[in-house]
Amino acid sequence: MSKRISAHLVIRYPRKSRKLTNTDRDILSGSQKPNLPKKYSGDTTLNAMTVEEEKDKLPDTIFTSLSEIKEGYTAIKQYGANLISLLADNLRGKALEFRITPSQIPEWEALNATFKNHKGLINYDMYITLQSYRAGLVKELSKVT
Amino acid sequence: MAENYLNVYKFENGAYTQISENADMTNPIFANIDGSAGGSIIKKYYLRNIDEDYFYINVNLKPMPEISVQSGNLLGLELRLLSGDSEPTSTEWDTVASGNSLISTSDYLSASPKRWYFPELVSKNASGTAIGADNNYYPFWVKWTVPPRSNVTDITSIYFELSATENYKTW
Repeated sequence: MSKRISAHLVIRYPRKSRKLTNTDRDILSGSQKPNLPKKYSGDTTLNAMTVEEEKDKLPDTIFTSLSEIKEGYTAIKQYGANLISLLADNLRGKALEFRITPSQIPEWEALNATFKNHKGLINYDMYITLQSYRAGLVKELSKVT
Repeated sequence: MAENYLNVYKFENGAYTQISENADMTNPIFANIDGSAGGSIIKKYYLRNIDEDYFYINVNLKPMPEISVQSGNLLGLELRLLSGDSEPTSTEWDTVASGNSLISTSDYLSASPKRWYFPELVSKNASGTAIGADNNYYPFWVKWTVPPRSNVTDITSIYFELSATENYKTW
């Protein structure tokens, strides 16, 4: 007899943190717009091409995280999970949080574990950049269902 | 036809749970490692034959794909296996190379070092005749190691190949 025993390795980066500044709080409350790099200011889409185009201009850590976002988006499409919403965290968690409805798909547990592991990968320094992707990402993800 | 009663388990919250197979990721052998600092994760699992009418010899447990042909996000990953109930010491881990196999031996009592082996999963009498299945849980340890500054990634392409010669009872 011969069989394949499943294995799964996640390599993550620890969450970075710093104290919130007044500017952070203003951005959080919506009273001030984030000072986004010009390139990202009007960008409301996230797709493989966007990430690929931008990767050379971004620090490695940011690219890694954008890559993770892209991967998550791809995974949702691939598994066909019903999406309720995608929430950017409130800066206290300094992480993007994915919320998906289990739809009784066999892969749900693995997918859920994957997203739990993604939580915390994105730190505050990446948050501002990611904000410009958020609206487009939600829009794109809503098309999945 | 192979019945495949030989399985791998983990022990959590007072119960044994079977590790999933054939790319089913519901309950895999799992590790979560900080890629910035690199490092190792060591976890304990168990090998067990669940059937009383079958016995298993020539057991071989091996991480795949083989280290020598690993590429892409598997590069730099090290996987080592040792058997035994207590967690191996760093000296014991140093006795095996990454990608090593755990195999069964018919002379487990005199096997050295025992950490490299499983016993054959069969009960024998003094003259060496099979007299029953061996349904004990046999513990082993998996050590995952990644180098510092490893890229953030999610690897499911790796697996452990478990092979054995399956025999129907002769007793």
